[in-house]
Amino acid sequence: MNVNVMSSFIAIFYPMNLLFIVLGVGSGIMVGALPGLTATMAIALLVPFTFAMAPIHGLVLLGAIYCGAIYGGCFSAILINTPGTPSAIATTFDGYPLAKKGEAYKAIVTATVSSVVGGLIGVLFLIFLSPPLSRASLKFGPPEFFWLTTFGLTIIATLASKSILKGLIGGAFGLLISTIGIAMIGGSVRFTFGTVSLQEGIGLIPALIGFFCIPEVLGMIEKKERHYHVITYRKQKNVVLNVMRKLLKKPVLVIRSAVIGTIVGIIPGAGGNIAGLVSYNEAVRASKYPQKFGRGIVDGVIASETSNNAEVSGSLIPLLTLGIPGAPPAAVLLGALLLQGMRPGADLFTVHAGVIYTFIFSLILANLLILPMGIYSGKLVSKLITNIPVTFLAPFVVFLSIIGSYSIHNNIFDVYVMVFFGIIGYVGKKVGFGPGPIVLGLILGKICEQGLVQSILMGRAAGSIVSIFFTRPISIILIFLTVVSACWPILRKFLGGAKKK
Amino acid sequence: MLADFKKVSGWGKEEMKNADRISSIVILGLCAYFWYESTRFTKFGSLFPQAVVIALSLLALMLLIVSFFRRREKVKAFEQTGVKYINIVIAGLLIIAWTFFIKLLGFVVTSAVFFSVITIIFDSKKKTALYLLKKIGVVVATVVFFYLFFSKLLLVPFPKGVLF
Repeated sequence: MNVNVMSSFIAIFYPMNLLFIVLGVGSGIMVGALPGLTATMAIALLVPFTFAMAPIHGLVLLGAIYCGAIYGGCFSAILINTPGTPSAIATTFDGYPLAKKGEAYKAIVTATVSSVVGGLIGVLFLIFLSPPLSRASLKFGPPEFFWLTTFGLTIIATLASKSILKGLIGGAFGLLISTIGIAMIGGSVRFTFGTVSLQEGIGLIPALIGFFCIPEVLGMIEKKERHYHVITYRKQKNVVLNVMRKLLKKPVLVIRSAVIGTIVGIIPGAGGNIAGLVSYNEAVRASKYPQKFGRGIVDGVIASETSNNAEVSGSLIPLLTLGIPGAPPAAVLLGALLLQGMRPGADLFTVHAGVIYTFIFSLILANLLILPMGIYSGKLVSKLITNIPVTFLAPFVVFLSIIGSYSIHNNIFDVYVMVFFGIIGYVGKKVGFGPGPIVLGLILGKICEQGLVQSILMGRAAGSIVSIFFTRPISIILIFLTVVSACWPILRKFLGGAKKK
Repeated sequence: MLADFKKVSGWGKEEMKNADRISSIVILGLCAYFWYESTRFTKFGSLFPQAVVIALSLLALMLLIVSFFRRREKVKAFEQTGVKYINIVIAGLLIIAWTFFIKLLGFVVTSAVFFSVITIIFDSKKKTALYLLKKIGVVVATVVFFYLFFSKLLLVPFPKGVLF
């Protein structure tokens, strides 16, 4: 094993790193368990806090929060039939019926053990896929980056939104926002409305906080009268061991769910909710007793929870290697990386190898910590769900959003940007434009524009613009994937129609 | 009050079904403005924005056309039952005011005031003196803790304004 990799592994046991991992997992579980607070929101709010930290501490903390929050969603899914995070939607299908049958503890332990196993399998994929992919990214020139971002946008639109058309509009709107500021090539001052502060462009972190936090705050105020009825439960002996034994007897279900989670995570823009639902659907299809699903069966909880935690590491694979986030929380992590002066790609695995490998290995420890922390914090978490009033939580998130967006540049204009996009995000969400495609359009916009303009310049110099875009091998593969992804909804309808016939 | 709001805001039941139409028209207007602006940029500065504007306009146009052929239930927006949109408007205005008063009154005072106001006005519990004291106490403690954490530990200089 490379010495650098070995020292990175040892680094996760440094006291400060350990402390941040424990803090991250603990706070992540609490955030995930509270309906209305999502993993994306938690990471978006905390990115500015990590600004003053050493890069490794910041990344380790955010990674642990990501793992903890995605897992934490299972508590409210099982105990109150409301997914704490969108990733836990499929967990409600069987988790809540199990809890109603008096098996809440068994459901929580199953979710915990499945999350740990799924998370660990996901990290293995991250460890083994990232270095070769990052080396492949060295072969990417401007045309490849242009096609990669185009592919990313088509897939975001088809997967991340209920309406493909609205998803595409959201993505294009994000691209348009990304053009605000001084042009990278040509130097034009674009769409600044005479505001000097806009010349630098729209700040990624304020926009992310706005799009992901303010709509959630207003959503909390919408539902402020809601009172949750938490199913009480007692710890039972031998449940942990029994669940582990059960999981060992179902290797196909576990591995299939983890692989689905990782693959969905790698696909740009598709989050844990899609991973959980796809995995649950496959579990039903492959089961010998599909009629039992939805009535309280552990297989349903295993499928959903294994998959959504595997998705965490999966979403980091395209992020760390190509700079394309696999899921909304990963998009926010990209902001954290950029804030620390680290650009995704081969550089991350060479120049910043120490930091990145420690970050990746810290995810192993974070996932392992979920086991004791999840099992022993159950009572505390269920109290938290009922005792923290939404009327306090909502302004608290606004307060943190203001601090977060202000503290990066110490500029009040960033706070205005955050609020502006927050309101746009809320109205957009209400009329069917989810924040995911907009944010990913905003992130991919700059890479896409740079790829397009530089490719044209290269084409001019080489004598043929067309050949630069359409004849390079990696470009051809990416064009093929883009076309398939763009036509997929039509293809799916056609195939569905043929099947029905 | 809710009925009045719906009348004023235009988000009544009949208008709600037109959400797609309204949003596509707004996007088309935005595209027209961005196109007009982009004509002043250099050749390479305008290339990407113009391509995006064209794509966005076509998509918005498609949404507009599709909205005329869609059944009513599919274009519902702002129609969740039991949601008091007047609360959302008030919350939105309070958040905007919060950010604007920071520079004027200072971060700590503005945050303590608006944090308390939002916490109290949206709570349906009976507002006794003890209740108010408790809530304001918790909010002030939270604000001061975070202020000290950021300004003393992370050295973030928050705007001071007239007060603090």
